[in-house]
Amino acid sequence: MKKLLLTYIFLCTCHFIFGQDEETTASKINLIPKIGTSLLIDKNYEEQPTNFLSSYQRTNVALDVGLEYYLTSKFGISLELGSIVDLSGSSKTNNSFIQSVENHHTNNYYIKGFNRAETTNYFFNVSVAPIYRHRINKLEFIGKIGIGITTFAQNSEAYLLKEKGSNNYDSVVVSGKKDIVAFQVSPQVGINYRLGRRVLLGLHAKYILAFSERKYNYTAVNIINYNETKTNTVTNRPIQFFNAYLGLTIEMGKVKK
Amino acid sequence: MKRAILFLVTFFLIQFIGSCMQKEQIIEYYYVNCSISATHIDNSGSVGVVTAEGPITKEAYGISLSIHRKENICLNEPQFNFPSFTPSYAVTKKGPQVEIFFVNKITDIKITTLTNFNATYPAGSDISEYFKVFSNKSFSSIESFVDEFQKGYGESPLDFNCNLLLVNPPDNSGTFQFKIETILDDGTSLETTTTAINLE
Repeated sequence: MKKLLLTYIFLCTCHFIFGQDEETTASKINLIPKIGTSLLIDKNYEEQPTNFLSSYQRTNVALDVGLEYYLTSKFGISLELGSIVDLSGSSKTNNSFIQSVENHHTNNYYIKGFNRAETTNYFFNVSVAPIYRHRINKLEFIGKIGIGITTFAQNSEAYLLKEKGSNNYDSVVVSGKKDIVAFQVSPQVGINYRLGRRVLLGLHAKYILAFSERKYNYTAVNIINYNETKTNTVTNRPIQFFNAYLGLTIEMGKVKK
Repeated sequence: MKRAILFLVTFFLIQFIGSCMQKEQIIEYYYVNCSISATHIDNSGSVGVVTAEGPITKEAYGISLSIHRKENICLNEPQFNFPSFTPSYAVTKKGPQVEIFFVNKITDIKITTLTNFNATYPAGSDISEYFKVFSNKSFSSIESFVDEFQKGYGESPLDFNCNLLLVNPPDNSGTFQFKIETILDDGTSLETTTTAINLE
């Protein structure tokens, strides 16, 4: 009798867990375009002028396109291509960089003639993530943990330093590595609301943690005697972003009635 | 009617060929260096400021040298041209050719201290090597400046200014005075003297 009862409880539990698979009406393949905002999480960001030469700023625009494939009604796998774009002005010297350099040199030097040498104001990331989906009526709760790679660009800048109370001038070039590829982990949660048979509207939040070494070369040449001063700034701190998106889920596979 | 059209076409063709056959004109510029003048520069701030009086920080001292020139332009007509046609330069590469002639070419600029500058350079010494010409975010020696100045002769304004900044200041503060001399290729020279200035 006991065995029969245990078998019954086990079967009920199995039915409870996997039962939703049978009642699914969702498609197996979904396309998810998303747009949102990306915030850099770095409380020490203002410390180094070189931070302002990156291909991102404090606030950026985030664009994502994801492709999901569900193996069951709850579990699937997703491929995501994302981009973070700095819209603050790419060809001009960043105002925060100018301010930061001025704060650095303000006691002894006048700074003039900023000239941005190389400019990249966007970067891409690609990730693969296992998905968990839970559906309640018209709502879907999504969770993903993405693993992938991201690219970064470090821009270069040139300016002239004039020593206060002197005829001394230094020509300064701050140059970064142009292309950096970094490993990234990006957990993500989202909630979708079904608008129609194949379309869902969703809010998504994504945290990006990228591990990369960023290195800047600072070269100052005295333009009178050509004495050269070189220093390197190396940052190993991981780069962190919090992205918030508004997105659509477009169901592309067969939908059961 | 036919005759009128034929006449117009013939006239247009002659005009067209005539314009194409025009030979190029040569515009000749004659430059004369007439005089020079000099004032002090206080370069202690963000940009150099011309000033008549001191004191000026000796590490931030400079001389603003003005070269005053006169220009005489002559238009040399080619030997034969169709008289009434506007040239289209169809048979020549460019428009009017510009030729520059120097009546008296600057070959050197010399700066002499009229007071004791330091232990090595007493009054009357040539201290040109202590000055460099600053322009457009870079320094050049007086020698290379003179070379470049001659090459771009026709492009610079008639009254030309250059900033000669003192890159090796005197050891001690004091009153200083300088004589600037531009040496010309006709054997003459143009001279000017700064007012006495207190460098501290």
